[in-house]
Amino acid sequence: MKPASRRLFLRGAGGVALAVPWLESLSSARAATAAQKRFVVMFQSCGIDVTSFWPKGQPGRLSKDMLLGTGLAPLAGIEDKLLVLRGLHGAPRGHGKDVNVNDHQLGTCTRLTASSVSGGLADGISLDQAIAAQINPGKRPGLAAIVGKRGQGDSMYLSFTAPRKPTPTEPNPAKIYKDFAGLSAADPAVLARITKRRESILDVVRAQFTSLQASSRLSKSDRDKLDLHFTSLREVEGQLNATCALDASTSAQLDGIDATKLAADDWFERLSRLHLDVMSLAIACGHTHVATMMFGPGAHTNTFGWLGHKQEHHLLSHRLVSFGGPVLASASTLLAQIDAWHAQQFRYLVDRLNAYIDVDGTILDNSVVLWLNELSEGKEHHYRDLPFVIAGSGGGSLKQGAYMKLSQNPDPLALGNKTLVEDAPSNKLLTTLANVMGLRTPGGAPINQFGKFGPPGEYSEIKV
Amino acid sequence: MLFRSSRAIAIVCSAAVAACAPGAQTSRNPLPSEDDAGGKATPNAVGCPSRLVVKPRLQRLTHRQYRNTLRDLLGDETSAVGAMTLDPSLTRFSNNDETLFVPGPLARDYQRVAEAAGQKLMRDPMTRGKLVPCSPTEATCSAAFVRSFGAKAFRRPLTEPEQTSFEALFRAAQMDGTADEAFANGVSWVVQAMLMSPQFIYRSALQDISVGQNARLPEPYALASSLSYLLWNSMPDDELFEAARQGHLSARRDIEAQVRRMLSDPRADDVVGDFHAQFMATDAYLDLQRDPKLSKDFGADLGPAFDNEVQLFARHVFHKNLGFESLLTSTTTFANRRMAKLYGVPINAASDAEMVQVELDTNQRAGLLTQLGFLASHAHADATAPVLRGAFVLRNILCMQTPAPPADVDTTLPPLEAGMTTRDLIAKQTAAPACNGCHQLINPPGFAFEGFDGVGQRRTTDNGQPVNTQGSVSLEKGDVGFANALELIRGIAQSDEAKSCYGSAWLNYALARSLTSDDECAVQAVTDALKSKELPLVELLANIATSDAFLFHRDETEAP
Repeated sequence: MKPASRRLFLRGAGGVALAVPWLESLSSARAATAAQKRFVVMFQSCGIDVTSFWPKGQPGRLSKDMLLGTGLAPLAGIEDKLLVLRGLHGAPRGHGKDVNVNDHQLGTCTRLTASSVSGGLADGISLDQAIAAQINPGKRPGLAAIVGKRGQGDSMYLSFTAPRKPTPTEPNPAKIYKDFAGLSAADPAVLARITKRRESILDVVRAQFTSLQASSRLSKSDRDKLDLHFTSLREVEGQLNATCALDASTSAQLDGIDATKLAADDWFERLSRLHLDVMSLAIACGHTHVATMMFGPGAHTNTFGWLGHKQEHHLLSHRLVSFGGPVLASASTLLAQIDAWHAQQFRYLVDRLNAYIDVDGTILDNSVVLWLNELSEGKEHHYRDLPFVIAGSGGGSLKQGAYMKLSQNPDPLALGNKTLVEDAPSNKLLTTLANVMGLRTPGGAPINQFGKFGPPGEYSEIKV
Repeated sequence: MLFRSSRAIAIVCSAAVAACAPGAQTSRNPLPSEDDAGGKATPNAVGCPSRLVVKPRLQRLTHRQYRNTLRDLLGDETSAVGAMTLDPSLTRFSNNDETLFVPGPLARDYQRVAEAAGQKLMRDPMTRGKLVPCSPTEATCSAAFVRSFGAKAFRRPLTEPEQTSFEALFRAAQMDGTADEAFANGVSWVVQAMLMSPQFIYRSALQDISVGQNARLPEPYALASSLSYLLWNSMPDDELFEAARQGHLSARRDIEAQVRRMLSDPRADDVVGDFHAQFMATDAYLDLQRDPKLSKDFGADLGPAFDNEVQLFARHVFHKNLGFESLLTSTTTFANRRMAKLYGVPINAASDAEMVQVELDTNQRAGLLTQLGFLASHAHADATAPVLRGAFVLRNILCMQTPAPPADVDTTLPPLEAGMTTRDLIAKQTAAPACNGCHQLINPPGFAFEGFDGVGQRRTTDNGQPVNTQGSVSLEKGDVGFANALELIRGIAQSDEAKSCYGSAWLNYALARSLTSDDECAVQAVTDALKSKELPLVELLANIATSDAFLFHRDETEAP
């Protein structure tokens, strides 16, 4: 059933915030729909600075203090929307250092497929596209975007629509936007009714504030409280627009993209932001329920010049001044800056999705936003203790505000220790998320094992 | 862990609550009933009225109060509130007025909930019918609905301008459709607007009555809300509204009668559970990852059950007319099957999840501090944490201020060597004079719990060695030696420090603000009431709900 109330509507100047409101005059059956789930992946390349990335302290309830001073510091304030996982390792092998295949390629290709890799391609569908095949409108493939240099032989694929079929990954956000811009959301009469309801109600609410503010009995701090709340009402949904459209300034930036510069260092940051703007709008408008954003492919080689870096990312991850050259003493600090930059992008994406009101909660509440990486420690190409950070509960299915260790190894990275027990394969996370997103076998049963690598089963401890 | 000066040690050693002024130490009737000639309650003139404070006129509902209020207002147990933007956790209790404001995301939450409620009213004639006191075909029904629902949502009768404005909104909603749909639209819009109104989201006490002695009493409707949010964490019921309407909420005997009635209502359970969960900081019980070798029954998923144990146990103490001493020493508790295995007691439960009352061995357990959640949350993944357990006892149970270790000290513990217990390791690591100033106070009450492992099970050995749980703790009545945690707990349960600390925590919660030196007399009064013999929790709550500090506020128009 595709009820009218599931359509999406824009509101506010520039369409920054969207809403999925309900319509009074529609019959009860049509109005009573469960919220749509969404799945969003954000890929960071070349590992992390393992010394500074993770929350401080023991796994448990995630607090703001645990994030401050770490690579995840930009996420402070949304800790109650996060699930940070420790101890996961690549499946089937948790150590990297594969003598036959490039580790970056193996890590990138298997991270969402849990499948074997040959000739640079995974022999299985990736989780994002498996989900899209079941939930996306018109069974369209999930949106896939990339920014930066494509790297070694254009072969570092993360997303696959089928075995050995990499998802077309679009580097130009302007082209993605053209696919859905102006999508009509509903007939204008219906929109006008919703706008009228919200505006009429807000008018009365504002009048209530005004009369309360006029009371002489209020103290300064009472008044401050009320003023802040009144100001906050500006962020509340009122106006609705008829089309899915970016604001004029963002549209102009899309128009100004130089298509010959899509891989250039000095366009990287600007394009990243535009991709996230377009992607969150595409999700909020219902153009796609699945999206995958890659900040570079595996073994990414752009230079983060806007952070003052001189060495390209992959070289930095090996802590070298140049390949075959001396060790770069400041590499850890620079990698931590790259981690923080990615955390900022993740924060931006999450905030955007959280700004859209859904049938139940915000779009973020009904989403799983997964930030991952092909490696953990880049210098040695480790697949141990891989970074997986999740925002959103997938409609109340995943734990929130939690920092959880899924491995029993005291130190799941255990650099230099060959006796690590490989007890937390990342493929089981894919299986868990597949079921959270409602993926089912053709017979309608829950997924027992997503992909081919690793053991069957879920991490039930990360579910509510 | 270096002390910067000898003064720091003095801070560590002094209890937080200073002695009260001489006048206030006079024995006080816990339930004063003397009124002035005009029938208005007056402050008990025993030294404290000048300490009354100016209170906020507006207090935002906590998220818990908001949920309960929606449930009671809409008569709907299942109304979905969903996740609300969390308030900053700057204070011990989540109802502290300093932390309750409305940033943009929360304003959107309020709109989201209001729209969801409006949507449900549209499509659910049963729920709608409960709110509409008349037949929609009657011409006056919309006005009657606005009047009756408004008085509940705003917790006082609507003013005439409010009545007019909401009636106009009701009419604006009736655009088309059948008569039924049009009326349902009107109901839905009015409910949405009222749920977004500051008059709903804040408890307001704009009007009050001077009762002399620089003191003022809130007018009856505001007082009704004060009482219901203290005792129920929710809005007043019909009877309390009726008492306010008749003006029967200004004499002490009337107030006390309502307090007694409310404390015997099942809704009081919410507050008893909420307070004790926050008193024990059960937020920290969630998502505990512990060494699976300790027990196959322990798991991070038990967190909510541990929190539930605290709340069920506190309610049990409340209903059995028991008090603070029982909270610390009772051997009754509540457990599910896996928890019973951790406790090592038999259980008769119908399902894995069911929580049932169990009796623990009097030689093994005693109250809140030997419950699983406290012991497991004050531990590390692979070891007990005597320092955390000891610091909690000092800070949260005895209100002694222990500073955090200096920022430049590495508090990471080295691994446990063969033949060494956790106690040996901690003692060694904190033996340096710079550390020992604090740790001689913190460690002993922590070591007392070494008979419990990192998931709260009893143990007799640690790393192959027998555990040593002996020590002593310094209280006003003198040093209290103990052989184990049970002796420590029994010593504390009778101490003035612990009773004063517990009483001040309740005042902190009831007044919904941080305590200041103005509250010394109020703390002393509660402490006195707790001291004599075991004061039932229900009496403690009645005492606080009828106390000067709770009922009155200072007349800001007069000089203090």
